[in-house]
Amino acid sequence: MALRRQSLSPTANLLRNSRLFSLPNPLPRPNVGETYGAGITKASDSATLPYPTHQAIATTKSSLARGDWGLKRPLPSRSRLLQTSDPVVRITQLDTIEHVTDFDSAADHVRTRQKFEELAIPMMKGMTALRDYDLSGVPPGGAFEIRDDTTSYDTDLGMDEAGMYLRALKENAKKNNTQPEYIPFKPPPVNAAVHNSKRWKHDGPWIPGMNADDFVDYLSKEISKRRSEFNAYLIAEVKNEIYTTRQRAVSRSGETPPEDITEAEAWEKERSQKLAQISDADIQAGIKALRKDAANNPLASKLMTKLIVPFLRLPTIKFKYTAYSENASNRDIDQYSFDQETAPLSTHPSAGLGYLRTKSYLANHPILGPQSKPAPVAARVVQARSAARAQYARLGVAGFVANDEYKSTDTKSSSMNALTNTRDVETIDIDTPGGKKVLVQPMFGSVTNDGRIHLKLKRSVGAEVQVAQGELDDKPPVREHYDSDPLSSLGQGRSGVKELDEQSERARQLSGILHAMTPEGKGQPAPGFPGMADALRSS
Amino acid sequence: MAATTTCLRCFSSTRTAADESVLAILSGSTAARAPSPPQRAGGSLATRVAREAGLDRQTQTREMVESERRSQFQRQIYRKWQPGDVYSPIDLSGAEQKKWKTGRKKPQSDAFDVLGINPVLEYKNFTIMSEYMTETGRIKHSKDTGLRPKNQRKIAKAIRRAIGLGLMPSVHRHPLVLKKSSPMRFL
Repeated sequence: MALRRQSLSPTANLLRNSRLFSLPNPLPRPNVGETYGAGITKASDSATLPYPTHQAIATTKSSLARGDWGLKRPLPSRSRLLQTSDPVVRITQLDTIEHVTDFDSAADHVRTRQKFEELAIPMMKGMTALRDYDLSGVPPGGAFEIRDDTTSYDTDLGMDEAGMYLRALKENAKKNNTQPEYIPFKPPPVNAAVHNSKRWKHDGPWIPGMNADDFVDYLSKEISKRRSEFNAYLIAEVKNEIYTTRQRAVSRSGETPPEDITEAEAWEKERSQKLAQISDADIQAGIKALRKDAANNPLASKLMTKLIVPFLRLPTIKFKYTAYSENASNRDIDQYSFDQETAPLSTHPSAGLGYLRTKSYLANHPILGPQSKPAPVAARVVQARSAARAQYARLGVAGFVANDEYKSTDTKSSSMNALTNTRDVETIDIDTPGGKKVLVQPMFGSVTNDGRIHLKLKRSVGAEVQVAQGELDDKPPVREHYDSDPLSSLGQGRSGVKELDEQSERARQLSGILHAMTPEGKGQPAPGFPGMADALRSS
Repeated sequence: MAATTTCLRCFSSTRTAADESVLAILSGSTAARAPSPPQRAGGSLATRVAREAGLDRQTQTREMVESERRSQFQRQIYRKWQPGDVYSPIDLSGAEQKKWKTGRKKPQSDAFDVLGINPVLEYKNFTIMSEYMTETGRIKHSKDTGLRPKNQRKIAKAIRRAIGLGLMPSVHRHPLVLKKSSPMRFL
């Protein structure tokens, strides 16, 4: 039972309630910067970090006026950081050697979170849906799906298939220790819908992300302690394997029991005893076979997947074969890399940004009523497409930089036609005050294992743009690509062949003018531009 | 007149043809002094048709001037944004952009500490040695290698040892390293 507040001493109570003690230790500073091939890094020490590392604190208006932030000394109200309407600060150091509280404005991340809330988009799990071409066809799971969000190892829900197997093996080994005769092991029933889930939090470490020292520490301090425990599992597994293979061999040999009941029972008993007689040599041979298999194929071997991973509660480690990927390297070492996408998250998949589970809500307009799509969001074109020679233009939505919907190589006519401006996000726009903005529909956010938030954006084209621009005319819905009189284009003095007929009134006018301009006879060329008519007509 | 110059510029593909001197001659011509009324009006059918045919599109020179102006602005933006970056207004300012202009070369952490390698024992590994010597075979300073003093002394020792044993040339990188790697790698 937790200690009750009242039972603590007044001083303890005071300390527990104080800002001084409730500020958590800051996270290590993430790396903001880019590294080029030659080992040159470009970085800024004052750039906004991809996620907050310090606790942001606020204070009430009356305390703010007195400069009281609950810290050791008041913060100076003349600081420009505190002269905003809604100041939030982070404390870099509570007390320095100069007797100054070192603080900084935390408005960057606090406002970013507020803006994200206004977007009203859910956080989803996994980055697959953010790839260029998502081949899985599976909609991304929400961050709060109950089977992905279970972090306990005690319940069935929190177990994956290998975990269930190991637990059953443990129970079987316990049973066999107490009873003289061998009880065969039956793998537990597994519900694929529940137990193939990927938990986001693991007890074990992410081994590909450890450095050499950490790994040596892990081996010597954590793993060596659990050796005997693991050996028990290993022996139980090998015994079970030997038993089942023998059983299969016997049943395949097709021996039939004798017809007399008592004889049959005796025969059965003898047979099961023979099956259960597993010598130490057999076990050692079985372990050796498992190890050999693991040496050949470390990550996919039975020893790894069925025993080691659930025993140490490691996140699943996968190799990613990148020889055929888009920007594959020629170096062999790069072709065999660990799949970083399967690396466990460092935060909850929602990243603490919001609690929305899906985006399936109806936006309501005060005049027009329910809308099929919520109001579009103006996204700042932070980086034009040609600027960085990147595939995508980078758009800034609510303070997060995200990829544009379209790539430079996209030529889908249906999607590109909708964009009115031909230059669009190709180059930097220096004429619009404040820079170019495009209207987008954010779909969802997803957090990567290094704590960065990626947003999925779609360009907003359609009625919601007009509504946002204030065109509130209520038009009846019109069927697209619908021709009320399909026969109208036939006949009427035309051949019906597109190439032979001039398509429009305008084209016929043009042709008439050009005809008039064409010089006739042998005389001097007419005023104007001789030859231009022909050139234009041929095009 | 307006239509005349536009048409001319449209058909000129070079700077010289669209030169002002050429246009000056045109303006002095009889056609310019007595232009035909429908052309001046600009609303005639022919003008409209010509405009729709794209004859009043930006000329090449104008496009070049525009793109030069754009690239002058673009050149002052140094930060390459990655998806997942978070920005606040200050990140878009000029002062912040300036910080992304120049790169630092020094690695931020000691490579041998991270890898858990003792550099002295790697004296036979000419690939590692080559990373810590210049093109002309001199041992790099610790301000370039980013190693802590202990490891810097050790790598220097290893390089000297490798050269002394004749495993590695003293005035350039190992030939196999030179052959296998692109020159940009060691910049």
